[in-house]
Amino acid sequence: MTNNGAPLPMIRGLNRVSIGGCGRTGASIATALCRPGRTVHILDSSVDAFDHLPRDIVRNGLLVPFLADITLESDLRKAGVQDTDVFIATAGSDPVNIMAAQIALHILDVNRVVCRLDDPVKRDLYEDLDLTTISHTEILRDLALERL
Amino acid sequence: MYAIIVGAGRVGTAIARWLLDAEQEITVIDRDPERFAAIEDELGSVAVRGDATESQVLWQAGASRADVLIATGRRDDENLVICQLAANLFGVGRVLSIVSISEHVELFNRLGVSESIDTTAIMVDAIEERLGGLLVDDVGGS
Repeated sequence: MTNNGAPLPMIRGLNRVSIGGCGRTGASIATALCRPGRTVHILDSSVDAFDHLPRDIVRNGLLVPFLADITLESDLRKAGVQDTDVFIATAGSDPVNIMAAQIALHILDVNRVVCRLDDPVKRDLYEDLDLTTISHTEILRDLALERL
Repeated sequence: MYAIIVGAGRVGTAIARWLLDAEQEITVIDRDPERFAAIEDELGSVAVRGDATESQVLWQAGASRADVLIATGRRDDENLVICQLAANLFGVGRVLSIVSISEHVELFNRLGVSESIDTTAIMVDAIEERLGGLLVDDVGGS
């Protein structure tokens, strides 16, 4: 109620978003994407993880938490990932993100799949295998170099 | 034949023993210090200690000249990544993986990087086979 959407530009064709992993990263991406007219689902296998979410946005119904193991196709389906425009796998483990992202891409046929990977070798491999990847380590490195 | 076995649990250790008995060259990878020590105690210097989802650990184990890799870990997500690294990065010809959760079999097969072994299905089949005779006509389904 107090939060009328994060200061991000509207991204076209992004009406339904699913985010796998509700750590600090997942929670913060989810919060930034919330706005009226868009449904954001966030999935985690631990109830406590949802403490990272701002309560008012969850109460508004703009951000919907789902208790789910993102490495399971059946759990992803229960959370409606097959009907979303984009799935972002951002758990704390590279193998978990890789498995979740590949299920979303190859089995659930989600159009846009983004996978957080911290290991640069795996990034190169999985970019070749059709995943869009983002890496904390590289983003932080670039920011650090920029500031220097 | 040169085989890399990931995981020095009961399954991995038994496979390692069998291949050594058949006079094949093997390396076992496990990140747990106790399991690593147990393998070296029993089978000699055939182990690498580390996380096989890291490419440098596979490299250290000689993945680039391996004919076969067998992933026997408990976690399907890790087994999948290990198989994909072995097949795509190191060109290992045959990659086999244990799959603990049956619904993951389709993903392994779809990605085409491994021959997956569905341990749950194998156990259930074995039990059904043994108990099948007890059932008359009160259980439906297939």
